[in-house]
Amino acid sequence: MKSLIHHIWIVLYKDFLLEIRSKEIFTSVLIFTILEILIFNFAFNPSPEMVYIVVPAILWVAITFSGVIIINRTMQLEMQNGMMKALLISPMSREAIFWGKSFATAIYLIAIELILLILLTVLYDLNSPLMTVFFISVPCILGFSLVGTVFSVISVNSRAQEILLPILFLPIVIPIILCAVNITSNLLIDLPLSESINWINLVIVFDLIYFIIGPFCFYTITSD
Amino acid sequence: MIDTKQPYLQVDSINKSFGRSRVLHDISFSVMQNQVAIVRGMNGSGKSTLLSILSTHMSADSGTIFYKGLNSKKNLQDFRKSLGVLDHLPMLYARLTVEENLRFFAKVYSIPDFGNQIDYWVDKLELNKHLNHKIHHLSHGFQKRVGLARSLMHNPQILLLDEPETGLDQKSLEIFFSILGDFLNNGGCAIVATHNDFKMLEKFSLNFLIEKNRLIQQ
Repeated sequence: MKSLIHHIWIVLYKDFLLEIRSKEIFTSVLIFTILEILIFNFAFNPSPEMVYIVVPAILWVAITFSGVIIINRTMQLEMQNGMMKALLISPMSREAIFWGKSFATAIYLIAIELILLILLTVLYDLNSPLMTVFFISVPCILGFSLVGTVFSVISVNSRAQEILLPILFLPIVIPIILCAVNITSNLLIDLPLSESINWINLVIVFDLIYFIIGPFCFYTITSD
Repeated sequence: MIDTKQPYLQVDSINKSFGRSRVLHDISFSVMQNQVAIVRGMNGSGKSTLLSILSTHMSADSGTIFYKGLNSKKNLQDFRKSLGVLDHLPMLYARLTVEENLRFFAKVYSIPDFGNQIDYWVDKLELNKHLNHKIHHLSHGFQKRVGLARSLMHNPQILLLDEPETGLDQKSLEIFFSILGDFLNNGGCAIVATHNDFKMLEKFSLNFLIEKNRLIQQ
């Protein structure tokens, strides 16, 4: 167990070190996401009554698109120079590789979500419990990253990887996005957390399923 | 204590097909301590596939690999720890420096005194000047040297080398053969897929040829 956690940490640390050295993922995705938000803002220009309906949708569309780019890019970096092979033939367990990659993606997305929430608050003058929205979104993002990592391994070896990932991945992750939008919407209109408990439970169940079957799928896909 | 009469690596009836195309048919051989098995063959003959199977990256359709008499699949972690692999690709993160790459792999292989190990291999492979250079700024030959350091740093007992001499200049080749000679003298064994004659390692060599999907000892 100690060795597993140590190896997850090694993969996670390496992903962040790669990002610090290359600055390929976070900065570019962040700029893309901010532009997305601004375009939505110009397109909808919502009235004060509409804001609480529109904002959750904008937030999760932005996170979904950024997530697809991040997941694709982090896996592509792993495929360069035969690195995935090097990891797979190392004594490190495949669970550690899978969870390490998933957590790295989740952390990128959590950071992006935090920035987006601040931006949306400024743009739409939101007066809602944003920290609650942020913390409740973490399990949604985690589930999103776990599913995405599984499908990124499938898509990354195909010629049409950029388009294949969203085609395979988005239909599977729709339940999480649906839950996330509903939870965010309820919290923005100041409903108590108990009103969202069913959605939260659904996300937790989804996370647990992918936390357990994700490594198994990863193992199967990478075994040949 | 290692039984020197027992093969270090024994490959027993390996078969591999891709779809309907058979690549390896009933491949069997064994390599003892201090030996290097040199596998030659035409392009596409299955040399790299054989090394991929030995490295555990690919699984064979049938057949078994024994490591020190034990089934490698049943002792997978130990078997993987005992392998050092140098592939066509350097297996290094292009955007990280030489030192960062070596540190990463030292942690992956849980090398206890990795600072000393890194210093040792950096000195031996004359990489001191390039320690803080990113991999994608290095020439192919230097990338290969770093790859060699990566594959030897955890003191493997079996080296799997896929056309290791490709892209190396005379000096790099001398360093490579000297290191490989030391490795074999110190009790390791190696399997090399190559087109080179490897005359410098003649006294350690077992020569094989893959022809029509079968392995022939020469």
